[in-house]
Amino acid sequence: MVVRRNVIRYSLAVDEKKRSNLKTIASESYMKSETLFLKNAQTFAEAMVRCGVRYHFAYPITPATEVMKHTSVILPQYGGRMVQMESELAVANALAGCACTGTLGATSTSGPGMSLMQETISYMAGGELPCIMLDAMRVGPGDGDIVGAQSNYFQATRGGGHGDYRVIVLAPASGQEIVDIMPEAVKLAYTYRTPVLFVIDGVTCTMTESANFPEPHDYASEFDTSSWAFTGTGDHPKRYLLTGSYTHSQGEELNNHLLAKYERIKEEEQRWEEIQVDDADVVLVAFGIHGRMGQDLVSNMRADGKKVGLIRPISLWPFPDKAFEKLPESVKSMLVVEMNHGQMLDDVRLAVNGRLPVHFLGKTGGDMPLCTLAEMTAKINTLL
Amino acid sequence: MRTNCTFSGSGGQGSALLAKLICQGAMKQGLQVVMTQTYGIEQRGGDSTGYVVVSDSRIGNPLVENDADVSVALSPTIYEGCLDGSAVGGLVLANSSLITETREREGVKQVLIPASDIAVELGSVKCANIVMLGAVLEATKVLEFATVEEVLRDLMGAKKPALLEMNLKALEKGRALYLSAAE
Repeated sequence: MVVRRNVIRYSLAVDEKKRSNLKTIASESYMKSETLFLKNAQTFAEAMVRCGVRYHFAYPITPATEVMKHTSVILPQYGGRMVQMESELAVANALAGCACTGTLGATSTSGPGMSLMQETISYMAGGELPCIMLDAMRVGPGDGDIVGAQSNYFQATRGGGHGDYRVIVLAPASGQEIVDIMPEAVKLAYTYRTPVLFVIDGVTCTMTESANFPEPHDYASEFDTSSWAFTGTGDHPKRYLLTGSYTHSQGEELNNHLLAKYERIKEEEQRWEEIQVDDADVVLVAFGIHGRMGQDLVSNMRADGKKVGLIRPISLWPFPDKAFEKLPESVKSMLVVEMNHGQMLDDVRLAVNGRLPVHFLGKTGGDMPLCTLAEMTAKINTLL
Repeated sequence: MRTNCTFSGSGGQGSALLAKLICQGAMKQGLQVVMTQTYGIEQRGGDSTGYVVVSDSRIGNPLVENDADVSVALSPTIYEGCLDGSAVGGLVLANSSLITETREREGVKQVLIPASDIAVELGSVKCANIVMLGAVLEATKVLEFATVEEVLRDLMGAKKPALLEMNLKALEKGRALYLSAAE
């Protein structure tokens, strides 16, 4: 029954493509650059729509609900729509159906919803289908708690579902960075035909801040999907994207093809911010909210004559290994800070490969679910 | 230049609106601004705090970590929190209409503003937050006074001219009260 229902969802999404003109351009009044003061979850919604997402499938969950509330209002103005499905399973299948037509769809959820979507995301990775996803991370495991966390790093960066695959994972640290990186996310999704997953902690998602939005630009429509998308079989044989009885050799071929793509992504798409690492004694490594706090930490400690640097991964997969390849000899140790009990820590240790001690400071849950700047500073002082 | 602000009160006193008005004004002046609210689950009618960071450059740490440059305490239940959450060298503006017991903290300046009483005199106790806003602007110079007047005009000018007039008076009264109280 569930399978049947999901097949119906999938078909609905495909039909939707046929029915509507997805190149609909927003009315002139929305085609302008402006500074907005929004919750970062709303900023995510606004940014993805301005970059070409026209279909947003979602199911409410704290703290991601703000995204669908926002898209439900703005998407019709851009000729698209937000569809609230009956569950995250339906959301993921509608997203896959949408992607099969070559159309850029999106979803937003939190940890429990992300777990439910994993089967379809694995299929989308195998079928090489582009989409934009947000995991507004909160405390796990299980139902966990609704306060923000970075507890889904492992799930995000290791694929998440079954099979030998990865998805591109981006971790913007502020509303402005969400806006700035969204065009790249859309381009990555189509260039590499892959789901692109944003992971943003719930504290950052619920924070309200100013962000400068450029003029809307539909990046998604600039990519030619005619060689693979479902467009009807008028001029080509039947296409398979999500299903297919692979022979043993086809299975190997698919995996080798994906592997080559992932290697290319690892080589070309590592993103990070680096501050004053050149002569640092200790380097702080943190993403998301702790990463942006690190910007202040470095300037405060440098003002006191303490040589501290920062590496802030922006792409979590591919992990920015290159940032760790040429660390100066001055660096004596590193400190990883996360809103969890040590997940990115593993990737930093792999990147450093035993050359340096890597320390950890982490916190998850509670009224104050993250490490304060004072706590981070105190920890670094013990390492200097 | 970075200014950390804390705006606290009981639910309904308008501390969140106070925070938002500062944010809107900051944006009008081209400043960067981040607002966070109390983490965790709030009870209806319970205490509410809005934290605002205003800066002329990129805001790294978005949190106010017991280092508020200016704190507004609208109700007695959050007075202690405001005093303890102030930076050394910071300022606490307490609503002395409701906060009758105060204590000293070394390095923290306190100014008592009878905001609720003044608001009642002006027409509604609801504009106590705007009285405090006037005091904040005078004390910190974080924003131009005219900018906040403009924000208020944008917010309520067209639909509620009487409300606007009361709030503009409240803003001015808060400024005057701070000047006389701080002397």
